[in-house]
Amino acid sequence: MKNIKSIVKKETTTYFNTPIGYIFASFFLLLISFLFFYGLGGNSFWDLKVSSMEQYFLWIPILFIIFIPAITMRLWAEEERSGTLEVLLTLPLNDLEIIVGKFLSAWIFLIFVVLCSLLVPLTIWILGTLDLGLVFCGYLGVILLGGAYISMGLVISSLTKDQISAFMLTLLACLLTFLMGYQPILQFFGNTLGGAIAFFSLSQHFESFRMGVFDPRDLYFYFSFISVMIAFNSIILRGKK
Amino acid sequence: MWQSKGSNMLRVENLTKKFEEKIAVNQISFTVKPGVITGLLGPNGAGKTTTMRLISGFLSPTSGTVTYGNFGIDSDLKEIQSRLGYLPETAALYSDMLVLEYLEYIARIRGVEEGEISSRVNKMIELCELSTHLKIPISFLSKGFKQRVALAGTLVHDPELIILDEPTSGLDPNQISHIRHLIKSLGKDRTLILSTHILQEVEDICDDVIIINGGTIVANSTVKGLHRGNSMYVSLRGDEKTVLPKLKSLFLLAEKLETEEEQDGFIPYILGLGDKNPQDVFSNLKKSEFEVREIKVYKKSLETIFEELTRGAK
Repeated sequence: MKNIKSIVKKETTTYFNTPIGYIFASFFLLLISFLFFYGLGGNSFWDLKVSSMEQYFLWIPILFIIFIPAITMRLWAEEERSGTLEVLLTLPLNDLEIIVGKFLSAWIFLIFVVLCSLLVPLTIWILGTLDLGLVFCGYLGVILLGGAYISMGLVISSLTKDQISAFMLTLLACLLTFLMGYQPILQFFGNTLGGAIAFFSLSQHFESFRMGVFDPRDLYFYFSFISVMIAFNSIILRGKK
Repeated sequence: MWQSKGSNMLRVENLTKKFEEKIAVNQISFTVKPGVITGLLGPNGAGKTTTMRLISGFLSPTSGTVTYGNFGIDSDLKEIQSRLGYLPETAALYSDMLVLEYLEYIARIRGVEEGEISSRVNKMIELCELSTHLKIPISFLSKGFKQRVALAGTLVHDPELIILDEPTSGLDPNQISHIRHLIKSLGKDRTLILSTHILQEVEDICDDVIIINGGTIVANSTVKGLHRGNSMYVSLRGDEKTVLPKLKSLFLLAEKLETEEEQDGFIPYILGLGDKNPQDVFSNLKKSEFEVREIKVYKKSLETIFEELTRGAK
């Protein structure tokens, strides 16, 4: 536990020490606020004039497709490029401690950025009545969805040697898992196959949270997905040896 | 500054590492005793770095074993790594961290007790002369300073097994002398292996030397023993065309020493003895009625030995 704590501290500090973290966090927060308040195609907060955050949580999985790869791209790829992987893997640490440490640091940074957006529900709450249960559920879903995307990005970063490749491949993987839950696409596959594909989509399991419904099955799905990805990362790391 | 360490021996047995079709290290075996500094030599691509990576646990062997004391690298990797100080060839560092931050992080993760971190880090700062650069991001440092930070990180937990891959690379002459002195003092009671391209470094600080070529060990000896060799220098009178064939029939190897001139009709030769004793040289030369002016044990420079053993390496 002490080792995981040290890794989390070091990795989280890196996000705040390098400009890339600030750039993508600012970009994410500005864009999500703009899309929610001014939107595209008459669905904005000011157009609808409803004190709800439903539209806000609709945009988040889409923005995560760009934001999450930026958070995860350096986690392993930079270690490989700079040669620090050799130092890291010869320290008296278990592979799992390193992977979990890296995962948690990225997740903590994401949670920090997401919590910075709490000004949005606060604004709505001042302007009208807000369903706090829906907001809580939505934010919980956002954090879980982000965690799942991060675990996937972590695996992809461990398969690449440079950050650009890691970013592009993670972006594609996030896009794929998003589209797997996108109804117009699922229609092509029919009910049975479409249902099976949708089950493995990360965005599909976010839907209930977005609607303000807390379904433990979705919680279980996200934690299972994260665990599988961490185990997969451990296998990849062992393969590198 | 350094506490007296244990007496664990590093034993490498039949170690092999294959990368797809290429065999980087092939069935190598050696032991490294505590208190003995062992130099690992070899041309580029010979397998030195792979060997060090296998011992440090960064790579897993295709076959063979590495044991340190009672610990096997397969079953007790973390036990070995907690006693290990490994400086990789690249001396890679986290460039966004400050020097002090990095050393504290490495000390903590290497298991130094929380209350001792500050004193251990301060000792390393003093030892590697880093006090003027503590609050500077590592990315701003020169190559020499980076090497010293990496070395400080390697030694911060006072390891008993030390593996250094080209530790003086990028350092200025004063620093090289300082680090060599440090390595010598560390090697007195620790198990220490170092890899270097500088043969003078091996002569100056190593007790034993292992020469690797093409993934196999071509020499494993004490530095003194390697110099001693098994050759004799003789200076004989006579025409080379008649003397040399006779010598070749008597000895495993006989060749004219090209680096020395003929003097008063005496030509210098080098004789490889094989399993013969030096006293056999006397009796054989006497029987053949050669006129001998000088005869002595031939000491080759480490450069010559290295060239001979690794000739043809790509």
